[in-house]
Amino acid sequence: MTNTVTIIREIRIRLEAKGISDANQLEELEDHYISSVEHKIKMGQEADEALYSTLKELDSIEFEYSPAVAHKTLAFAALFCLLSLIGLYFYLFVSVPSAASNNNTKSRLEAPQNWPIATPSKIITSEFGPRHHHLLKTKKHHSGIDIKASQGTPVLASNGGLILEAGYHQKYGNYIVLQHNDRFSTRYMHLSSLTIESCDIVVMGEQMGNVGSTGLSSGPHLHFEILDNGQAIDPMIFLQP
Amino acid sequence: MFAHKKFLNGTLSTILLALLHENGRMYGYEICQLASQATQDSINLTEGAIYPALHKLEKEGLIISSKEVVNGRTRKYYNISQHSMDKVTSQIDMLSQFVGHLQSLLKPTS
Repeated sequence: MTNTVTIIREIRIRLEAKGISDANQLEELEDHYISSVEHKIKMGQEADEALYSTLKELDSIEFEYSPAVAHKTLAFAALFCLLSLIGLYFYLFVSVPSAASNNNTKSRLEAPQNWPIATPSKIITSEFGPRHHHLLKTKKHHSGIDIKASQGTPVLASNGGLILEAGYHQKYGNYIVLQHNDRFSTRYMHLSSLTIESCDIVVMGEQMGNVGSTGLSSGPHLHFEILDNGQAIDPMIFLQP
Repeated sequence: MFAHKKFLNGTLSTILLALLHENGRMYGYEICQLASQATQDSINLTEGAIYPALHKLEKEGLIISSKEVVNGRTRKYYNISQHSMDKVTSQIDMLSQFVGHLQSLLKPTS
């Protein structure tokens, strides 16, 4: 049995089904169609028939582009852009767990990435971690990697940065400390000669000196370290093999 | 019937202003009814078209709305804003003049 309550409810449901969600729009169109039903009844139609024909009209109408739609589209577009930018930020700058090892993290843009010598040979004669020290004959922790290279091979900056230290040390020989950003720095030791000075700024791949055997070293090689917040970590995490 | 839709594009707003100016305070359905009756069902203003037009006119400040609860729902009435009366009447006059000019261009074909 169709009464006023039914009419109002049916119209409301049908409008919502049309995708009209703006409250003001809904309200106004509701009044429009209910008025239409009331008018038909007044003109002599049966209530059921009046409601039915009005609902049919409602279904066939295409509602024009409304401000609510425009705002929604704009909101979604803005949200999408924001999420994309956030995603990009995370991809580039935020550390993610590396597949290589458990605790080490890797940030794609910040870390030193380039092999620090000019030769294609990437032979590591001594890896990061505990080892038997061949000169001092004691078990020690190796804080970097030893890369095999012949005397005079150019030593290159693993990434751009500022030369913090460049000089001679009894143990390290001719050495360089290069600061890349507020997190990462690299160290290069046993060089035969230096071609830069401290406070110089270098770019990734720039020559800083040559491989040698100065300091506590048994033969020409480059001792290379990567420090993450002052802590030596395994350079192989970052260096492309 | 559909040809009218094309012609209404651009004139609808002014038609609404004219109806409101002539008849005072009206609600959407009432406006549609009036237009149909006055033109012997030739010009049918659709709900899909008039409500966006009315909202735009309100946004432009030419008309103002007020709500009333009627028979279990809320009804929105529109009327010309006194403040914009001059603008409204000049817009109606401009369309009226244009129609006159159109008439002199469109000589009857019969």
